[in-house]
Amino acid sequence: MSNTSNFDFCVQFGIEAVREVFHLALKNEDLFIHNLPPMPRNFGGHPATVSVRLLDDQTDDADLSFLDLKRILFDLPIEITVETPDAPDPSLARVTLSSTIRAPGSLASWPVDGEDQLGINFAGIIAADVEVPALTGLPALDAARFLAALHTRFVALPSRSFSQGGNTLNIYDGTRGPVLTPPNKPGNPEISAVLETHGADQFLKVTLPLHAKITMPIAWSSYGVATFWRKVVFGTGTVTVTMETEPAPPLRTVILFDDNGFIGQQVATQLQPLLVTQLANFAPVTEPWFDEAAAKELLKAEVAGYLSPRRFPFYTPKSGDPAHPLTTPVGFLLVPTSTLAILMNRRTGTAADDVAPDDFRGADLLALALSRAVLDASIAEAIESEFENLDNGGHFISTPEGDATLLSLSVTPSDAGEHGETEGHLWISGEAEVHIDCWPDPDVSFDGPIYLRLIVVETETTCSATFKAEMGEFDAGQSCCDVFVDLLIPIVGWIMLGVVEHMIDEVGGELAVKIAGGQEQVLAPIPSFVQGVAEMQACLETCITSSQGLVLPGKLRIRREGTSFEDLADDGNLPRG
Amino acid sequence: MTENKQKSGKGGPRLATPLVVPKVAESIRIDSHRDLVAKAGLIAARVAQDPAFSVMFLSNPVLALEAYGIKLSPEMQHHVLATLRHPPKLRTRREELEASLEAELGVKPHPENPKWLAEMVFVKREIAPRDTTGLDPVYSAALNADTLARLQATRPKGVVRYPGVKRLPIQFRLGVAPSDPALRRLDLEAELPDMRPAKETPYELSLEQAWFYKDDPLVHDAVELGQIMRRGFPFRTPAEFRAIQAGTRVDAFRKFVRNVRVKGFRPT
Repeated sequence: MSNTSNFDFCVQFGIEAVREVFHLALKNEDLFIHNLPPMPRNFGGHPATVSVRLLDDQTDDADLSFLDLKRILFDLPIEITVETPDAPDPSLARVTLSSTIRAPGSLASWPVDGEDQLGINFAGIIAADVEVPALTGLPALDAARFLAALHTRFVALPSRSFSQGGNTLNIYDGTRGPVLTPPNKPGNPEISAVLETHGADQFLKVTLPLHAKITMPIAWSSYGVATFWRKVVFGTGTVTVTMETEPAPPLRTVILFDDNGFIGQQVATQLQPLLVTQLANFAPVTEPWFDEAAAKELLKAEVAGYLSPRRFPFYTPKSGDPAHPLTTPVGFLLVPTSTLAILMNRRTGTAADDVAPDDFRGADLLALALSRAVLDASIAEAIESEFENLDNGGHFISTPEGDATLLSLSVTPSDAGEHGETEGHLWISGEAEVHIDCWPDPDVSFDGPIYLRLIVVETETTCSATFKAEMGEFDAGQSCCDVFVDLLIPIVGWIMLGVVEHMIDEVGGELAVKIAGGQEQVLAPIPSFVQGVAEMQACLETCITSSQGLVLPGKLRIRREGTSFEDLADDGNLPRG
Repeated sequence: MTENKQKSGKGGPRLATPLVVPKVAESIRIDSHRDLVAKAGLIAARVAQDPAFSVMFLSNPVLALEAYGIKLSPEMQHHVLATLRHPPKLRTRREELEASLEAELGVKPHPENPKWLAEMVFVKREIAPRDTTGLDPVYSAALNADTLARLQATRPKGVVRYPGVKRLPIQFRLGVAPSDPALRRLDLEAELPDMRPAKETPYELSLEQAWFYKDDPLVHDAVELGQIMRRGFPFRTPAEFRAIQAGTRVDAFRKFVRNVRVKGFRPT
C-alpha cells in the first residue's frame, strides 16, 4: 500500500468537496436539465405522456455517498408526472410521483479540448440499478375521479335521447349537454357514482337520471333513475371502468321510475337493454394508475432514462505544455474515510495494475502526495546540479571558514520513528574530506535529520506558505556550524520548493505569477476550474515527510464558475429597471 | 538557528549516547611538529582502533588526542589549536586587525566582549548612542548568486492554464523562507539605516548592535575582527568536552558527525 500507488502523484478530496461540486453541477442546466418535456409512453395499450423533473433545493436536496472503489451513490429528488391523453379530462387525471431515488454513477475519464478530465458518468445505468426507497403521490382509487370523467363523457356523447318503437328514453346529468324535451326534472339531478366491492372485484356504482315517454300501446311517461355497476379493471399504468360490459346478476342495470306502478315496472324492463347499449358510449373511462410496485418500476425506468446520458466533470487538469502531456487521471473512492483519490501520471504497469492508494488526507479537505520515486529523482537532480562533481572524485567546497571536498551526499525521506526521530524527516548522510594545514586531510562521515516545515501566513486575500528546512535540536551557536547549516539547509528548502512546484505543474495546477524577485509564486495547487461547473482555490498548509514521499494537506474553497447575481451586484452591473 | 538550553556537565539529561573513552596501553608524548609528523601513523592507527570516539576531535582536538593517549606539549597544543582555528587567509586577516586596532586604541581588542565593545564605541570613539529599536542588521544571503541561479533553473516555469475569470479572491503563494540571520553573514558593506539618537547609552553592545556604528572605521574593524573570532573553530572547554562526550550536551558535530578518519602521512 502506498500514498500514490503505481502513480507519481495523488490528490485526495473529502466527500464534502465532491458534494459541493455535485450541487454546482446540478445547478448547471446544460449538465442536468431540470425539466424534461413530456415524453410519449404507452401503458398497456393506452398512450400516455411522462414528464421528469429534477429537484435540488432546501426542502428536496440531493446528496451522495461513496458506494465502492469506483461508484458513487446519488440521492436525487425526482418528480415524474404521468398523463393519459385519452382520459376524459387529463388535467383532472394527472399523477405526480415523487421520490428521492438512489442511483449509482461511476468515476470515469473523458477528453475535453484534448485533455482528459475526471468526472462522474451515469452511462450504462439501467432501471435495475435505481433504488426507490420511498414514494409519494401514489394515486388513490377515488370515485370522484371517475365521476368527473363520466361528466365529461356525458357532454361528449353523440346523443342523450334514444328512441325505440316510438318510445323515447332521455338521460340527464344536471344541466350538462343540450336541453332535451322534456328537460331534466326539477332540481336537475346529476349523475352520481360510488365505489363498491363485490367479491374480489371493485365496481363503480353509477346513478343516472332519466325520463321515459311511452306512446304505444298507451301513453305514459315518468322521470326516474338508472342504477348500474361497471367493473373497475387495473392495467399497467392505468385503471379503466369497463362501461361497455354489463356485469352478471345481481349487478345488472336497474331502472326505477318515479311512477313505479305496474306500467312503470314493465317499461323499465323493456328499456333496460336499450340503456345498457347506450351506456357503452361512455367508454373509455381510463385514468393513470400505479400501485406502489408499478410506480417504483416506472420511476426506475424513467430515472435510468434521464440519467444515462448525463455526466459531470470533477477534475479538469491541463498541462499547458504540449511537450509535457498529462496522463489520464484515475480516480478511486476510499469508502471508509469518504475520500476521493485521484492518481496522476502512471509510473509503472498498465491500467490493469492500478490499485487504490492509502488515505493520507486525514481530517483535511484536500491533500496532495508526491511519490517517493519522484522525490528521490528530484533530490538526486538537485544534488547533481548543486554538487556537480560528486560522482567524479568529489565536489570541492570553499568557504572563508575552510575548504572541504564533499565525497558523497544522500538525502533519504524517512518515517517518524526511524533514526530515533519522532517526526518524519529527510535523513542526510555523506562523507567529506576536510582540508587542514599541517596534517593529512581527515575524512568526516556525517548523518542526521532535516525537518521540512511549511510556514503559512494567512490574510483575508492571501495564503502565503514558505518552505523552511530545519536541522534537529542542537547547540549551533558557533559560526563553523553555520557553515554546515548554510551548505545544506537553504538548498533543501529550494529543492522542496522546486519539487512541490513540479508536482503542482503535473497535477494540473497553475503556476501563474512570479513575485518577490522570483522566489515566490502565486499559484493554484490544483486546477482552478472544473470545466463549466466550479471555480476552486486551494491553500496548502503543512508538509509531511515520510518514507513514501511528501504529503501536503490543505484547505479548499469552491464556488460556482461564471457570474452569479451576487457577482453582478458586487460589480454594480445589475440590470437597471 | 536553534540554540538549545541544556546545561553542560554530566548531570544533565542525556541527549546522545555516551562515547566510551578509548583504552590505551601507553601514552605517547608529542613535543614538536617533527615529532607529530613522525608519529602520525601511530596516531591514525589508534584512532582507527576506536573510531566512535573520533567525533570528539571536532569538539577539541587536543583533548581528543589526550583521550587516545597522545599528550601534546603546551607549545604543540597552541600550534594545533592555532592552525585549526582559522584557515590561513582568515588567520592573516585576524592578525592584521588585532594589530591595527591595538595600535589605534592602545589596548588589545576584545570585540567578543560586549562591555569592551560598548566602551570602545561610546567612550573611546565618543559616538553618540543610536536608537536601533526595531532595526535588524543586514545579512548577506546564505546562497550565492550562482547557486541561486542553478536552483531557480530547476523550477518549472509559470504557465497561465486557466484563463477564465477568477472570482475567488484568495491567492496561494509558495516560496522559500529567507535564511536565518548568521553572524558570519553580517554584511559589513551594506548601508546603514536612518537612526535617531538614543535616550540612553547602552552598557553593553553585541556584535550585531555594534554593526549599527560601522560607519566609524575602527568600529567597522572591531566588528569584522569579532566576526572572524566567532567564525573560528569552536574548541570546547574541558567541561564542555566532557558533557558532549557524555551525551548530555549535543552540538551540530555531535548530532551529525559519525566519525573522523585521521590519516597518517604518506611515505615520501
